[in-house]
Amino acid sequence: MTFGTLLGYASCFHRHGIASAFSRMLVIASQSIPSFAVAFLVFWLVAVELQWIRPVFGSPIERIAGPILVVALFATGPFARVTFGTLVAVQSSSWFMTALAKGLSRKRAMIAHGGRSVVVANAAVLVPELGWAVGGTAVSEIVFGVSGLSAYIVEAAASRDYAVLQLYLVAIFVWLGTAHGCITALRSRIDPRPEVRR
Amino acid sequence: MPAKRHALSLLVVAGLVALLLLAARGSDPHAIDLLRALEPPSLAQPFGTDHLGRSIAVRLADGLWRTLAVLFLLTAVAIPAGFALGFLAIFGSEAISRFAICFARAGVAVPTFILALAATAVFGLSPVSVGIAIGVAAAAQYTLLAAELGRTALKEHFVLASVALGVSPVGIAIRHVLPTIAPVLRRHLSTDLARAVVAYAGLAFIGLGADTGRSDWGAMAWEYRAWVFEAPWLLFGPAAAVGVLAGGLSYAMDD
Repeated sequence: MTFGTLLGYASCFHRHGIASAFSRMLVIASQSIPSFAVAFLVFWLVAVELQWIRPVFGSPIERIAGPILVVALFATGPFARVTFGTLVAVQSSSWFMTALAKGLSRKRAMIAHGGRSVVVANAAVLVPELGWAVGGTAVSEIVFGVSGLSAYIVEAAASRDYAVLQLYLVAIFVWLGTAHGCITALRSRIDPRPEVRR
Repeated sequence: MPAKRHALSLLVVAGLVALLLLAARGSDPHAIDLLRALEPPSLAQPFGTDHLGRSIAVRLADGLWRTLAVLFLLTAVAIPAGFALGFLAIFGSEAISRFAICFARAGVAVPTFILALAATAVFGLSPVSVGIAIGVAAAAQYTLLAAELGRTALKEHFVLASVALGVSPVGIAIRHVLPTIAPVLRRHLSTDLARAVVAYAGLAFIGLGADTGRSDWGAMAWEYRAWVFEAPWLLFGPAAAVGVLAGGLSYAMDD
């Protein structure tokens, strides 16, 4: 989310620059490149070629670093493009024009006055990403040999362990409901539009 | 110009699919030839052969049919169900409208991959089970889209005129609302089809009901993962097939 937001700001500062092209490419790639291909590529790069991590025999942090990197790579593009789209919309708002008229540069105005709108928009993207993180990351966990929740669910599905699957579906609903509630509360507190805050 | 470009890209994707199917015509994807094991890509074998001497190109073509079946089922389930529930939400009584919207919101809440995973656990991994599960998840999204876009379309003057002339709700839905919301839904379908290709490959990769004889692209990647350093072309074929089909569909159908 952090890298995606920064990339979104960079894309907006230089609309036809490298950051914009890179964020666009990340979004297309996240929709069309299978996660097993990315996971194998990351495994080969960081564990075999560069040897930064030891996925199987390393410390707990080294073991989860690979799957986190893969999941983060897939989530970065959407956050960057939503940030970019929000900042483009912000620039045509009256209060942004007022900030420019008061003497702020476009970049400073985007940082100072666009931040809240960006957080509100990215909070909406965060809910499905949170749902994806609990169960949708099985491929990365399997490639890196991490015995995470997703891999456990896959095992339960393969062995038709319905008790685990039922509990998992309930947990997903509770998790998403809680996340949705928290993010709605956050949005109502920080949204700059008064009609939403009421 | 963009329309021409997209038509051209659609033709390119269709051409690649046709070439793959033609190359594999009449060949057995399960034919084992140990004397030709792990052959690198060549003119005769564009994607090489695997550890059992099976042609990767022929297996990819076999897997393509299974993936296309998922896409067909997704479209066949999601579009009619989404439209029907969306129009019920617009034209139905308050109770029916609430039910349709609640169903759709509940469906949208659960990530598609997880719903497909649960369906696979119950019915086993097949193009039919995955296609229907992803189709049901997508139907929820189409319901919300059709309801929201349809309500906006109902405010148009020409629709209001039709209502005043006494056209039935079904007539209004088919003649006015459907053509108005179709372009938006087509764009949405383009991303859904791409996601379905990737999701099916992911489900097959994690090996639910694993059967190494199956030519699903994800299952092939799972089977060939042990040769990732020795014979990387084994993994290139399935990954490229998923990427080209998903990316091509997304690009060709979007504006």
